[in-house]
Parts: sequence; structure tokens; C-alpha cells
Amino acid sequence: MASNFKLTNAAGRDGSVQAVLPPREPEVQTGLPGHTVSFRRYLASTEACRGDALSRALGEDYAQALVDGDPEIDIEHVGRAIGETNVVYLTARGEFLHSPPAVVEVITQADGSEKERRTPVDIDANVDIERPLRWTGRKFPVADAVRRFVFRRALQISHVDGVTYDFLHAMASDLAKEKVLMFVGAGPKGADPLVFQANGRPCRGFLEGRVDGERYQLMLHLSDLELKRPAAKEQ
Amino acid sequence: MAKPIVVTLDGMESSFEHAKLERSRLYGARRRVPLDPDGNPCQKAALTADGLYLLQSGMTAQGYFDEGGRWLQKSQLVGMDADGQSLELKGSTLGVPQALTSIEPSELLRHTTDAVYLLDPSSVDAPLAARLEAGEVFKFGFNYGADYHEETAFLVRNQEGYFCLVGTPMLPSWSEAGKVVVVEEVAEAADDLDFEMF
Repeated sequence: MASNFKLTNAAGRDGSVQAVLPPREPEVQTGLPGHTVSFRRYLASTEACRGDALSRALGEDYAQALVDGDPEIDIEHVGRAIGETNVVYLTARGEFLHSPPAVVEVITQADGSEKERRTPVDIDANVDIERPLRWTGRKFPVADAVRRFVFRRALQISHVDGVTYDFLHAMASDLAKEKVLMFVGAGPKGADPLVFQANGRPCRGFLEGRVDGERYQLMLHLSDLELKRPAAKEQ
Repeated sequence: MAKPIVVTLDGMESSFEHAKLERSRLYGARRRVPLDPDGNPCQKAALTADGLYLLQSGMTAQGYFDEGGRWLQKSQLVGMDADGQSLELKGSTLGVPQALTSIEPSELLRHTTDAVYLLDPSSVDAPLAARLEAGEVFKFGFNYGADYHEETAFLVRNQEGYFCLVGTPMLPSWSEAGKVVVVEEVAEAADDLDFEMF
């Protein structure tokens, strides 16, 4: 995954940069030594073999019928590999919907109670090549930031040409020297959270720099969660 | 109830009860619900690409199969290293004292956090409490359940309390003049930058 957008520096000048998802330590693969193991999704039951269909056909107490004749297994179909599928919606009664359903957005509070139902509000992406992410000047010491925010994703920012190499190396160098994270934001004043794709989850962005001579690493750490204790439920 | 997270520093044990911290417990949540013409929530189903099967809840299963198509029980599978050699299964670290190592806070930034636990201290060694209060960050080995890979956890404290963050190391490359960062092909899976919430 790579994407390009613009980023401003402390002087307010913007430059085009490339962002990539840095590789993570590979997960341990499971298998059987000496064998090639594959993971598959398969058909376990057909519509006529589901519990509600069996109870309609055989009555509520159909346990003995299961023992006697295996009516829950359709030998012609069960076990077939399932490949690509398309999501479809059925009515509450299980009938096929031939037109897109109406959609309602349900907002729940932190205690799980429903707060509101409303027409869905679309959130536009705001990180792109047109609108730069802004260097806000608001710094967080690394030692404080890691005890305040949860960084669940990070993007590695890199240059796209020689000019942006200097631009980003200087940025990384300044941040590394001060051991701080720089809060970056979207919107004209950099106050808005970052939204990377339409209806994506907004998150806060923090730049971290590391420098090793002429080499640099500039990471955009993303957070949508603070290290906070949930409010106690009212008795 | 899960066993506590037990850590040791300079031979002194501290123990914490733990609960997973979910975003929805802090900020609430929103979700989109499709409605049928009567205003009732729709059932979600899947139609196979060939149109043969309308898959509803409970109609599919998944599993591991060998090259001969034989179904394998999960218990038959073992963790394997890059050379195809079996790895040793490591037990859960819950309830088992884990040695703490003090680290630079920036080391935590070399991990993406996969899980956060809010800790409730049962007993905390005073020197550890003081060092956490002063802003030190500690790491320790962590496995919620038995696994072939031991994860890295970080113990921190702020005004809100004690927290354990479990993360996966990132392996960023260095950016150099004249070179563009190597973009590793990553499977379009949970590892991708998925911000789609609704």
C-alpha cells in the first residue's frame, strides 16, 4: 500500500511525499511438516438442511431423525469449496432484496446505550495530493506521547525526489534532536483529524523522526485511542 | 476469570488484573444498519459467484486441508519457521512472572499496538510504581494464550492508571538520497491500512 500526499514543514512550505505501510514482523505460519496445508471455506449446510427448515419439515423434536437419517447433511453439496462471494441482504423474513436497502446510522454511547438513529453522514477523505497535512507546531515529547496515545497504525513517509529528500531529512532531524512527536492535522489550519478514505475512521497524526547520517526515517503514527480509563457506569 | 499479568523487576513481583480496552468503551460507536422495506434490520448473506448458493449464517465452515484434500484438525498443526521446521509451543504468560526490561520510550514507537489492557493492580512493588510514575516504560514477553510466537508487551502508567500495550514490531527501512523506500507487497488483509469503519 502506498499513497502520495502533501506535507508542510515548520515554515509552512509544502512538498509531495510518499507514504508506505512499513512491513511488520512476519507472523508464524502454522502447518504440518512435510505437507502442503491450505485453508479453505466450504459449504457446511444447505438452506434445506438448516435448523429452521428441518423443524418445519420434521417437527420441533427432530433429534431422532438426525440420528436415523442424517437429514442435516446434503451429501451432494456439503463440502464444496466456497470461493468469491457477493454480499446480499435479505429481509427480516429471509426474502431476497432486489433493491439496495435503506440504511440508518445507529450511534451508541460509551456505556453501550443507544444515543441516536439518523441518516448516515458520509465522511470525506481529506488526505490527498491537493490538501497538505499541516505541521501544527504542537509538540509532544515521545516519553509523554507513548503514555497518552495508542498508536495502532503507522505510515513511513519518504521523499519522491532530491528536493523532498532535503525537506524530509531536515524535518526528521529536527524531531529526532528534540525527541518529540509533531502533531499534524488536516484542513486549512491543521486542526482536523486525518481521514485516509471516504467514511474511514478519523485519526490523529504524529510525525516522528530518526536520523542516521544521511539516512532518515520519518514515521506518521496514527492514533484513534487515548490511554484512558472508561467512565465508571452509574449505579 | 483470566489469570493476572505478573511481572518482576529486580526480583520483586507485581501483579495486575486486566481488562481489554476497547475504543467503543471510551467514545461510543456508530454502525450502519440496513433496513428492509418494513423497517426491520436486514439479514446479511452471501451469494456465491456462480449464483448456486445463497449462504446464510451457519451454512459455511472453514478448515485446514492437506494436499490430498484431507481435513486437518487444528491440533495437528504446528508453528513452522521459515525453513519449515516445527517451532516450540509457548504457553500463556498469564499468571507466570515475566521479567521487565526498562526501555527507551521511542522503542514502543517501533511497534504497532494490537491490543491494550487496562490494568488493575493487585500488588505493585513500590520501586516499580515509582519508576512508572516517573515515566519509565518497561517491556516484557506476553502471550494471552499458548502460541508459537511470544508477543512484546509494554507496561506504562499515566494519570489514568496502569496500561499494558501489546504490539508487533515494525521493520521500516531507511530513506536515503537517490533511493525510494522499498514497498513490500502486503496481502490485502487485516494488516493493510484499513480505516473503513462503517
